[in-house]
Amino acid sequence: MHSGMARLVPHPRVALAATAVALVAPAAAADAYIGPGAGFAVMSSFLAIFVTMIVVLASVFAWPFRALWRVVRRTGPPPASIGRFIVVGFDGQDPALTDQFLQEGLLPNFAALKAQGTYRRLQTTYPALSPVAWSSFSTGTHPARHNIFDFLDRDRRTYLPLLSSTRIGAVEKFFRLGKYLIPRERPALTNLRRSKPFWTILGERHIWSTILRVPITFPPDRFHGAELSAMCVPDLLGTQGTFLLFTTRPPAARFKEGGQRVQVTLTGDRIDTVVTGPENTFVVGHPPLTCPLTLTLDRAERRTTVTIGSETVTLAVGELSGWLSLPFPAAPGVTVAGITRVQLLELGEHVSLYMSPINLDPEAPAMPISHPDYYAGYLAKRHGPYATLGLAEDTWALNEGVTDDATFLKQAHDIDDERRAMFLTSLEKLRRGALVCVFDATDRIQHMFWRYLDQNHPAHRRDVPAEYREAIKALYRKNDALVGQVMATLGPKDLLMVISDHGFSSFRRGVNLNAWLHREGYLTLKDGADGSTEWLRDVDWTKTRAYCLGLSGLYLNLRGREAGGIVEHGDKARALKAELIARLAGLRDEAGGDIGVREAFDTRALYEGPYSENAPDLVIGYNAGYRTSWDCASGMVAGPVFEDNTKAWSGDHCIDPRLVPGVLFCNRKIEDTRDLSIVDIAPTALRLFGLEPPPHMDGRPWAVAS
Amino acid sequence: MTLVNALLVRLADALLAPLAGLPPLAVVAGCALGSALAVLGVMRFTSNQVALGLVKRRIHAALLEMRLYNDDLRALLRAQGEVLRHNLSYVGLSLVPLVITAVPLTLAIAQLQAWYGYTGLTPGTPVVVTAAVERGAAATMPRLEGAGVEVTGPPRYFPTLGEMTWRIVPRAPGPTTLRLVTAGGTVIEKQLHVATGDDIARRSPLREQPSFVGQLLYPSEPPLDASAGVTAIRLPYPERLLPVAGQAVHWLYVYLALTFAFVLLLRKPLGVVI
Repeated sequence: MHSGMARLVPHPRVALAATAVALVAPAAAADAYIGPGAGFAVMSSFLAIFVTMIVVLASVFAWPFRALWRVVRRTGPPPASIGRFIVVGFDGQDPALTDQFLQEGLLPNFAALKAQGTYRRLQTTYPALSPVAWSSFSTGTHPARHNIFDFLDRDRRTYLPLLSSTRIGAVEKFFRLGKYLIPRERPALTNLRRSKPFWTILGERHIWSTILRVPITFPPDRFHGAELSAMCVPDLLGTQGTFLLFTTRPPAARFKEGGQRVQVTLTGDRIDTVVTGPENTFVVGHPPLTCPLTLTLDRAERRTTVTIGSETVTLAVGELSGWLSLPFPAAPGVTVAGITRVQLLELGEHVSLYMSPINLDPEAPAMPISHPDYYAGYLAKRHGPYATLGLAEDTWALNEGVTDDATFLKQAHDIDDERRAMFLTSLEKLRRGALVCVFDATDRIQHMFWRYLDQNHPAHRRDVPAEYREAIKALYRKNDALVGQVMATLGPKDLLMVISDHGFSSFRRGVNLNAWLHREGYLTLKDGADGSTEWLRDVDWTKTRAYCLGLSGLYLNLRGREAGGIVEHGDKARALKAELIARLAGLRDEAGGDIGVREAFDTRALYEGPYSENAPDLVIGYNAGYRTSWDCASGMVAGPVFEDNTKAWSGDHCIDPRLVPGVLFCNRKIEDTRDLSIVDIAPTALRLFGLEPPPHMDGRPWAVAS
Repeated sequence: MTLVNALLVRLADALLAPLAGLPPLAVVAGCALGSALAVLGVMRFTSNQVALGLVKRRIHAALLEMRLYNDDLRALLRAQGEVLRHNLSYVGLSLVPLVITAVPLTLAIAQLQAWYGYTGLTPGTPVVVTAAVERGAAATMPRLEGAGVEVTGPPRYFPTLGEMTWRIVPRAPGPTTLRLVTAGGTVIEKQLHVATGDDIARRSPLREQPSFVGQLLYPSEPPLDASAGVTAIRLPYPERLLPVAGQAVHWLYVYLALTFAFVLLLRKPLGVVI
């Protein structure tokens, strides 16, 4: 054993190793005098080996009994026509760009996949939004059956926005111990997505699935497999991504989207401040948790040493750190753990430091973000820390001009690389069952870099490095390489699908439909209000018949449904809806010289199901180049109906879903001639594994060639 | 080694003699704390902490993988292979600090063993002194004597064992010197410490001819002259056991357990990966 160990170390250590052997071995033989240092190495190693032996032996002995039990309970897997079902989701991969890059010969692996099997458009959902579309993918149902209609829903009592997918409750029962509060219960966490994902149904027949970062999986599903949650996992502050800007600059207007400015003071060449975290629910009064942050400036070298908690990193101006631990001590023995990345933005007269949204630490998440619970920690131990936030790429910081294109690209690619590593490991482990992984970089980078593709975009700039102009193309090529890697691992019984939930389009002009509703007399403001207050707080609900909330929904202010509803159900509601549909269809942007809204869709005509009541009354089908404006999305009524979008967020897909289908590549021929929809994938997966799709599924399985 | 031992004995006596009045458990605990700090310090500054942290994470990952894929025998065995592989890396990365800590701690443990490993011989209670002799040396039958010690019978020789024994009765408490006088007049000495109550003092059960292990484990006295015909002299000191939670436990176990505990407690506050 010792000689074996010595071979592992570089040559100069061999002599030392030999000395150790000479010293320790006779001493141990003589009187068990093993130094504690040696003892630790040996004991730790032995413990790990011992534990693994026990686990292996237990598994080996238990395996026949488990198999027998499955046979007795008839829960074993049925005969399947495939071995592995692999879905690579590139969120937002656009068919038009895909076609263009295929023609240019930039995507050889996609081309091979197309030649070998299938390449088709994939119909998306109404609306064409990721949470909606991926929920339909998971469950094989339309929104009226899975209950996700947008990113946002509204509180019917207050008209304030709510996250559509998750409810996070508060802990209300505590034991009190002096100033400390010991929770007597766990906070209620509810995934509002209804219906069963297909991996749950597979799991009921003991077919394993690994589900990585598929949107609307927070809190995670419980099933036979492993799942890492994605979209709607909050940051440590409980938001969907709040970046922090520590700056010596004088206070300025607050950020509109997802950021907080923290005023700091320079003392000599040092800044001492704190990172303010979430409420400390372990202490009476719930004061905010804090973690010290110190910046020690080195002006000569144009760099700073950043110390957060127990971690220290030295950064040059513009350099983005790796993940840093951010421990918030909450009570004796209790630490709420986050991870973050920082970047020194400027070091001159003023000093500014960007801090990314504080992600839940995957090794000790404050909320369940995986199934089984240890799965997130397993991935972190295997691959290192990784982004856990639902919308992990910090689009808001770039939109607000806090970070730049280069920082965003690096962040997005780093997160993408983290996910690739997880995916490839999971692919290697999977022998039979399903593996689904969604890569978000396609969506995020297209959102933020479309302005460099579209010369007519208000935020287009010519004088940008090729790296930014080509960012989308480069990402498609990177994705192509991943597809090639996956194809290389495929066996004859494996089925690979590469899909996107929707396509993409330019977002040149914003449409404030609340302003239009106000102008046209459907929405009334309170006396003296100008409509510039967020979240519809200026609206007089006693005189308002319709309002917009979220990225695509228009709601009637229905009596008995909304707290201040005035529109009667039945004929009056139907008439109002028909009137709005008629007036919105072809709504023209005179200044922009184009149609802003192609059509407004009556959701009752689109889909029926147990959750139809929760749907917006209309889904707005914006024209290409248009989308709901930033002001409208944040519930402001003031301002023009149409306005230029000058933000970095320049591409979008919240438009008429017929304009932004997704893509479907498959390594086998799909013989159906009908239009293929994302809602069909779940029943197809079940059928491929020999299971009959449940009748509640709206999708219909495809005929996949064997 | 003899010189090193002489220095270490003087150093240990200077450090431990003032503590002789304290409860042995307290001294052992203090030594364990010091050892833990030394181990952590050595680990911190002589090992590749980043690599150690990484390999530990990989081991944990492989263990979790076994839990995750417990239905898949192939995955289980591969994960176990990874555990073994990473364990070898872990041991390899620990080698340098292992060597660096093993040497001083082994020397220190030997000194502590001399102080806390044995209780003294009881005055009035007969014990047997054993001398290992070279073949043929028995013909000369050396004489044993010592101040405060009564030799109560003639020496006995066991040719098959190559040993001679004397039955002695210590009479006076405290340190004394046994003298083994050969027919040729050569005098071989062995230190003896008779108990005064439950006193703490340096005691060495064995003095032998020069050997690396002998000097490492029994450093209290210089080795015997190789030409004296006597290879070792042994005294039957009873082992000292420490009372811990109602149990009598050898001090070394207490020391090792406390050292482990202190290392585990202090590693995170001191930021050391071990």
